[in-house]
Amino acid sequence: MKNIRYFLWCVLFVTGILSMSAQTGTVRGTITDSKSKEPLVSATVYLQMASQSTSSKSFGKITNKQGQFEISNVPVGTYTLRVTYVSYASYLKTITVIDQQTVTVDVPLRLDVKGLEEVVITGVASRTQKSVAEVAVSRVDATALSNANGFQDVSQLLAGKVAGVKASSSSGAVGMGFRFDVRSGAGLNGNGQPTIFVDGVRVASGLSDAGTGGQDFSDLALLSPESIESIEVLKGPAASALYGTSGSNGVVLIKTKRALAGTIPNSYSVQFKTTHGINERQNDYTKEYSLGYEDANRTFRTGNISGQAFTIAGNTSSFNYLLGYDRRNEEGILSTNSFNRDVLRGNFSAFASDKLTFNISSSYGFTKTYVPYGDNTVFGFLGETLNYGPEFKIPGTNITIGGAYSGLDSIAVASLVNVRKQQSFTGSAEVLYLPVKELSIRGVLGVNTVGSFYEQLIPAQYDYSRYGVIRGDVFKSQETDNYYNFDLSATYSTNFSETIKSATVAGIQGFLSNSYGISVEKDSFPSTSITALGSGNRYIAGAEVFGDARSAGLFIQEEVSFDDTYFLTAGIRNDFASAIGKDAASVFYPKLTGAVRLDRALELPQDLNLFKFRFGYGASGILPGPLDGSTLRWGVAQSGHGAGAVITSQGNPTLQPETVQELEFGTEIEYDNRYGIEVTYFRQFAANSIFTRQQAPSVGLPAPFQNVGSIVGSGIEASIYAELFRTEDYQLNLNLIYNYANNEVTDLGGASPIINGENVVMKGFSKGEFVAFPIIGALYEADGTYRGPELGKERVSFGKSLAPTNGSFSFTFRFLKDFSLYLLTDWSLGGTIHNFTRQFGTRFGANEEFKQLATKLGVNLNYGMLPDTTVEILTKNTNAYTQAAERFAQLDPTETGASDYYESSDNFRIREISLQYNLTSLIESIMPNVIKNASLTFAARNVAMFKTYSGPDVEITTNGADRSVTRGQDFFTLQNPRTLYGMLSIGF
Amino acid sequence: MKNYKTLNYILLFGLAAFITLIGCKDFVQNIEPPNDSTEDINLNSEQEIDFLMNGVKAKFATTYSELTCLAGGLSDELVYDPNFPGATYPQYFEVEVGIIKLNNTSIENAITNLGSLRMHADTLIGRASVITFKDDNLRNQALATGYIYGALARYLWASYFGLNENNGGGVINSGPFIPASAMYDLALKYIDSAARYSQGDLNPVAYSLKAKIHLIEGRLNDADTAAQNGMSEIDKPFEAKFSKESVNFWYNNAGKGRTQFLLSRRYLDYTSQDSREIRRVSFANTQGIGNYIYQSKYFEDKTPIIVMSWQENSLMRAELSWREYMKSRMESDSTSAMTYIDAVRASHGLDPLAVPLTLDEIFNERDKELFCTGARLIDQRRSGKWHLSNSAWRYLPITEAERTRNPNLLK
Repeated sequence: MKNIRYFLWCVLFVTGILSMSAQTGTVRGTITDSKSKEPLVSATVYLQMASQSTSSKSFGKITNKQGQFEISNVPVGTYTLRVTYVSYASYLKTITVIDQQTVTVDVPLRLDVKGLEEVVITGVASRTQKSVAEVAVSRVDATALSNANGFQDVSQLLAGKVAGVKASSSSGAVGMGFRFDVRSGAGLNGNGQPTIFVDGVRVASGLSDAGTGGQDFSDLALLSPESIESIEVLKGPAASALYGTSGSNGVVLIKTKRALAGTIPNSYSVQFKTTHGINERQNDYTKEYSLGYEDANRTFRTGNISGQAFTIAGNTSSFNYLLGYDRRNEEGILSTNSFNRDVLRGNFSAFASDKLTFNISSSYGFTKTYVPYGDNTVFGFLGETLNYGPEFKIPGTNITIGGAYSGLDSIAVASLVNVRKQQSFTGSAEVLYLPVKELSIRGVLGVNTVGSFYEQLIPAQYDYSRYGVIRGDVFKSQETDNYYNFDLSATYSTNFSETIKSATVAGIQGFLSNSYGISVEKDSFPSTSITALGSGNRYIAGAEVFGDARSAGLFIQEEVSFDDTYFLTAGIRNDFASAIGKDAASVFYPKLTGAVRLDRALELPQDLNLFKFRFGYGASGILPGPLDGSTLRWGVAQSGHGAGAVITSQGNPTLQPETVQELEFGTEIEYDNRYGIEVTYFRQFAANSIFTRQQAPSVGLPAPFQNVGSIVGSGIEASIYAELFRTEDYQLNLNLIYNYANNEVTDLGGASPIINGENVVMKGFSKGEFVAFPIIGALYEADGTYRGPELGKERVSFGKSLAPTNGSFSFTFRFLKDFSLYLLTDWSLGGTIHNFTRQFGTRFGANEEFKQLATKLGVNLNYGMLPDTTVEILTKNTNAYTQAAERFAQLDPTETGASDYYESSDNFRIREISLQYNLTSLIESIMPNVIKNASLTFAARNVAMFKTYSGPDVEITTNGADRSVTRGQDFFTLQNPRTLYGMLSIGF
Repeated sequence: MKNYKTLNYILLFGLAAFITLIGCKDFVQNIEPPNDSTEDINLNSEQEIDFLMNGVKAKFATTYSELTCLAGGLSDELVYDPNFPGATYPQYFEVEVGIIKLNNTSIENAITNLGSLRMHADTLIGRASVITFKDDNLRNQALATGYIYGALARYLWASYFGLNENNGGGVINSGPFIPASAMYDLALKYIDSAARYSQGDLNPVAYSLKAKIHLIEGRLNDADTAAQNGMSEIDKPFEAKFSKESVNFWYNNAGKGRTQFLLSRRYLDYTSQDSREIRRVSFANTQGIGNYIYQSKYFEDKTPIIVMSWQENSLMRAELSWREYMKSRMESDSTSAMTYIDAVRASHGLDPLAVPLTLDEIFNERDKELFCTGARLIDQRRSGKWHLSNSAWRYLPITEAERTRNPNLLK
């Protein structure tokens, strides 16, 4: 008994000592909206030791339904309290925890609808809050968008969301390329596409010819929208000057999802999402478009969509991680089109010390894309239906001509196979080092390697002999593309005085790319079931491609601010590239930007929380092609005489990049943290444009490249946003974007204009404008018979292939607390589309009016047409004949100046709509503490389109996303589908 | 202390940046050169001459097959029928009816190839003239090759292109328009140079080509003199040769590979008169589609085109003899003409000509013997047997590209 008592006293004594050494306190409080005073539920409250030592423990909590939190057993010490909540500015406060005491912190969070306090990227090594950014910056919250909608590719994420940037697919084939249009398109050279970085890796964003007519494969198809957290866009040289020749068409910076630093420590979350839906034809073809419309409408199917995404993310005090896998299987609206994608992702962040951080991003993706033939090819469904009028019998014979599938049987068309399998690894390693408080050093190494295998099969069991294919034809190619980039920069920040702050940035960037590929084609396969190249009896062709290019640049920049009100930044970059002529010097690109917060400089109403004026100037350039700076080059031509030397290109060793300069002015106003407007005016000047001074064919040499030519562009971007009301149960947000952009070629330096059919690059017109000699009437033979169209002597414009005005309007309406309705509409005005499907089909009997007029004029045989028996032949030299002839001339199927085939592309579209039910509260009430979040969404894309164009879609172009002059042409191009789908998302 | 530390870091970074600046240019230039092309300077050696000669021949083959096929389309030899399912190139319809726009892309392509052929041939001549050769025979061979193909380029300009519907001729290196006669004269000079360097190999071919040009120009005596020294039965035909990578244009545009141009049905008359004529006038029926026929002379994509043969030389001698007969009325000339005709027929296993010989019959024999070689268009112009309207083009037009980019064209 005595021993037991002694033992108990010892236990009490030890416990007492232990309890005395573990001194702790409590932190509690309430989080509310600073205006409405309403509690904020599920706000994140996080405590971090002020020293940020890795050995320190971190604490956190989520607020309850009353907006309250309590964190107990917090060791004594000084902490940074951080509170975050969606659409509100983050809150930071230093607190001290005392033993056995409770610290109460009530936090009023300020609304920040537009994320003005978020840090955005404003240059190659510049990061600042949006509220003081000196250039127009656009940021897309991809996570929020993906929660409300499902997207097939990155272009759908951006469409209608970023002022000054248009991302559009070129046809309805799933998995194919898309095209960016940024502001007024910068210069005359290059492909007009921005440079794209994913987590610091400069990624392949090119196109590969699919060999199926017009459309191309895109390297960006490997990028899954589910992986993306945010997208920031620097829209032109004013912002992207220090990216050098990579930045003339802007820079798109994509950040993939990571575990959020500073959230609840030592926790993890799991998110699962499943998507199911269909693709269906959006609009019917009509008789006005082609007499083959009924056969064309019968070719489509409803394609299925299925996708799943799984993510696990977690963090400790020194290590964050995110692992994810997502897959998407999608069928297009043609039977020969489908797209499969699988992506594995792993992102890690390690905090070695309070001065050293490592970030690793990696993804490994696979795609498999089956592509339909289309766009100006007889092997496609649309070419074999829309190109022909109805079938008819030659009188007195059993011979029928015309009709759908006159050239190729429909089963033969459906049996053609074009498939590309692609795999890609994208990875980056980033180091952030803060050796001393004022100095930070950042280094990034990035690699993107893409392997592509392509197979084109014309099967042996069907008859393609009309097109020269004998007993099957197989083409296979394999290509590997590697991209490497490195960035190293240092930032030195100091305060000259209490009010004057300075940051100096200096750095270097480098980029290497190489590619290698081979291809082989054989035909005459003895078996219909074996298509290995070795079994083909006849060798057709083989080829090899090789490329190697490098670029590098050094930059320095000085940022100065006064009183957090006046901001000025100046910088310069020296660029080098292997594509620049050997005898040309390196290139310098300057930058100067500034901003003033008038709401701080002047006495303005307090509710006017932002009134900023900004200006920017920057210069960038567009590189020549890899061999354009070389001198005369000879390649190989094969013939029956053996391989021989032929001239392939004539370069210019003094060739320099095209220079693009940009000036922008903008203003941003925000009232009451919920209503805002942002307007930017920009002007772009490109000079030293690289043109081939086109030579007469009799010279016999390829045209040499020269730095001649210039183009000027300008425009306005505006966005208006408003949060009309926000309560616990209801909320309404509106967003309106307006863009206007135009350009004009001001000089070609004596070089001949580029004329790609109807699209031209010509002085006095915009890039790619439709320009041709117009048909001004009819010509007649001596006896009065119609002879042909009469052309005007001067070229005139038939419209702009790229609409100068476009915009979007969207709203998000949350109602009954857990329901959310999202709608996005967009429009474009002032553009033109060339209906080449209708023009080309005219000569094959697909145009009823043309057939009738040809018969009336007695010239049907001149066009290889049998007479239309429903009309009578007119008498020559009469008014009726003349009228018919004048109209007939305008329908000429061969003239680029036939105005009847240029139609307005003005359109208004209901682009996206979704209805989401947040199931979290419902499930929580049934099964508490099981899930973190859950939602059910029904959505649609390309819901409806209102247009005057006779074709089914205005947003298509026959050469796919190819970045040449040719665009705005509809030539048997597949329409974009309407997509209907549902998503279920659950988080644990 | 902290300030010194900061300064140290800045100085270290600055030094690294300076070193990097110096190395940047070397870094970007240190790339692997392409493996599918080479700079011009690397071809200035004797070892590359065969490579260069084959290049000229390859250019000629491509150009010749394309031009002769388009010429066939303009003549009454080939037909473009838009009702035929395989006919999908509307620019060929312009050629078919002889109402040809100056921006016709098919002719644009052909004229570009011809300009390139001429340039390659002349460049070979220039390079062979300055390179130091150890092997004089190789040098002479290079010069002979350059000259003969340069001559052919000029011949093609004169024979197939024109400034307007009835005026043939061409352009050399963005110079003024050279009428057909003057262009043929240039061709003759090049042929003479080729013969001078050829050491006998090309001589019969050269003389036959000269005879052809003289005959087109109506210089009958000169044609006869040249033809007498031209190709005989022991000489192999002079051909344009093709391969899998560089296919015969006829095969892929007017043949089994792809049939845009069909064959005129008038060739059925020849085989109905003598079925063995199929050996010369080779054609096939399109399968299952109407009553169309296409040429099958070029039955494979690499079937060569005969540019000059002893048979053509014989037919020229036949025509020249007959024309002499029409002036002199000497039976020996008539007999000679018949002998030459029958020798050509016999080479295909055909019986001697059974009908009285006339100039029309000679042109018919040429129509069959020189079937699908580009000769028909020239013969139609020479014989006056034109099948289109008077306002139609009788030559392929010099296209818009040459007219707008060559300021000297009309000087």
